[in-house]
Amino acid sequence: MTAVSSPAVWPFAIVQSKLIVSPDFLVESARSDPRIRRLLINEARIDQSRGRALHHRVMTVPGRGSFELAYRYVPMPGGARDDATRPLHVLEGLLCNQPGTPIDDEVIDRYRHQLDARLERYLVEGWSGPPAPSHSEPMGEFDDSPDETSPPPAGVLVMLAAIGAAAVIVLIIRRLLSW
Amino acid sequence: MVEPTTIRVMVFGEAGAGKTVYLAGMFRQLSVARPDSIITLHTREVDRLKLNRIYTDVVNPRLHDFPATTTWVADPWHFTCQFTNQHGTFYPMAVEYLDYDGRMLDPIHGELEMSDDDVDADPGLQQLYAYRDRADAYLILIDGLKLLRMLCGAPELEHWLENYLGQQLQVIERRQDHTGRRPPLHLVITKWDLLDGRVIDGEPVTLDTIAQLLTRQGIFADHLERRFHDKDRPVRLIPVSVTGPFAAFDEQTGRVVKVPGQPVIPCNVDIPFAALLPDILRWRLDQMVTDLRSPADERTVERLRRSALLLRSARGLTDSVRSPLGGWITRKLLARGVGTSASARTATAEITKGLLDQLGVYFDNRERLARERLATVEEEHRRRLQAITTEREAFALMVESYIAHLDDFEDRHPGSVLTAGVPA
Repeated sequence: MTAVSSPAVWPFAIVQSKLIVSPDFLVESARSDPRIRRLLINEARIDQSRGRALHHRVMTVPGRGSFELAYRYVPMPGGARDDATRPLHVLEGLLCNQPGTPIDDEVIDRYRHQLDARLERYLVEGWSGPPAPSHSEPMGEFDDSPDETSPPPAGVLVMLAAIGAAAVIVLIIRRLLSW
Repeated sequence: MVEPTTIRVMVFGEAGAGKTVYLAGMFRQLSVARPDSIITLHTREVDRLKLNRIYTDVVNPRLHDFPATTTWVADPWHFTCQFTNQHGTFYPMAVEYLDYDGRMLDPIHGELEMSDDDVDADPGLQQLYAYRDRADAYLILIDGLKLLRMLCGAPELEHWLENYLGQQLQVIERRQDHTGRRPPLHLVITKWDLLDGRVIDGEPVTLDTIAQLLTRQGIFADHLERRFHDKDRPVRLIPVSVTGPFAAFDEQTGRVVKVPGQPVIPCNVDIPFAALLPDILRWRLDQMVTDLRSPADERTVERLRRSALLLRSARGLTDSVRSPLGGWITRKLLARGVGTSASARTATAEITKGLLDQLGVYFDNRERLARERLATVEEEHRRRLQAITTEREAFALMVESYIAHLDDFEDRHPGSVLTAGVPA
């Protein structure tokens, strides 16, 4: 196995061209820099002919470097609709500090929990002011050597050793008693 | 063939007005030649596939909903126009159509509530403004569903139409040229099937009803009045529907729904484009005449003619000075006391003759080259004149065909020409 690193990811959400949830460091920088405030909205472009397919691109954040951007345009949970009676869609995704990190729909689903409450609030109360900050979460180690077999984790080894030791002790006691 | 000019069409439309669906429907309708529409639109392969996908999603009964709102983009779609008639195949122009999130039209006072700094720093908005302010023709899309709600008395839409039209007209007014002419403008009612014939307050909605409503909007009425003198550039009101009876308004849910089993019958989808064409083609014809009389070409022809004449005169001069020059050189040599022998004089005469022959050949060659170049330029000029004459005839035919198409539309929809006066 080649453990490359542990990338960090931040979830984000955009509804009707309004940034509802944004990575905390972008929210912080956006206070003084209007370019940062509009960055995610301008970078996360959707090709509508691709339906719900995942979009990927690399985004450069001034002063912070390059980030992997993975996002999709999907109906809002709860079946909300816009003024034109179309299903309201949310552009949701992840910002990852290591460009090239493989991110699929399953990975996005794993970090969606930071979006749910804020999106619900948006549907009920509407939106005003800056977006809610999302916090970075480690994505976990990922393996880029697919042919190797992974050994069992350390916890399993300790447990097996403990069971073995207990079995030996039981055998010794039985031997002594039968003596 | 004259290089096609790109015509930028700015389509104003709020979020949900139907810009994307109309674009996909218009492309579908105009990408294949029909008996009543001789021009076809072409785009690059990837865009063709994308627009087809959007259209098939719209008319797919198995997909329950219409496509979602467009996200924050302002990239123009590029189309080449092609037409073929007895004069050949022509590409009179390319057309650009900008699709975008309708919220971008009013980012400060609309639901986005952006700050001045945000607007200035937003690349998408700046792209939209640059395109909008250089557009050659304008279409204002009016959302048929919103209009229906307004006619039904929705209080939040009481001043909507006047405010919306007023904002877009401010932009169009800035495009008035030094002669006072304004760029072509047409109003397009989208989702016409939701409105057409619907009985509101005991009266059926017709195009006349809508035309009267529009001409009662103060700012718009003033704008129409200022365009009254521009009789060859009328402002039209065009009802369109991409889906026809396949989409309907569900009274119970208040939603626009697909009606599986009902046919997809597009209505007037090509008319907004057809209405812009005669104006644009007339402008193109004028431009061709200007191109033909290019001052650069005329200067080149004049310069080459002068050069050829000058070189011929120089050649003539070389022959005429041949004997006086020989005598003059001999006299000079005698005066200096050199070349007194007969052989020296013969040699001097030979050298002089040789030099003058060389000079003559040089002038001849230069004159020949100048005349050849002149012939090439004139031939190119004649060829272009012929090509443009053919193209002009072809264009004129096309303008006629589109005017006939528009006349037919006017017969079907009396009152659609807003600048002809307030409909009765």
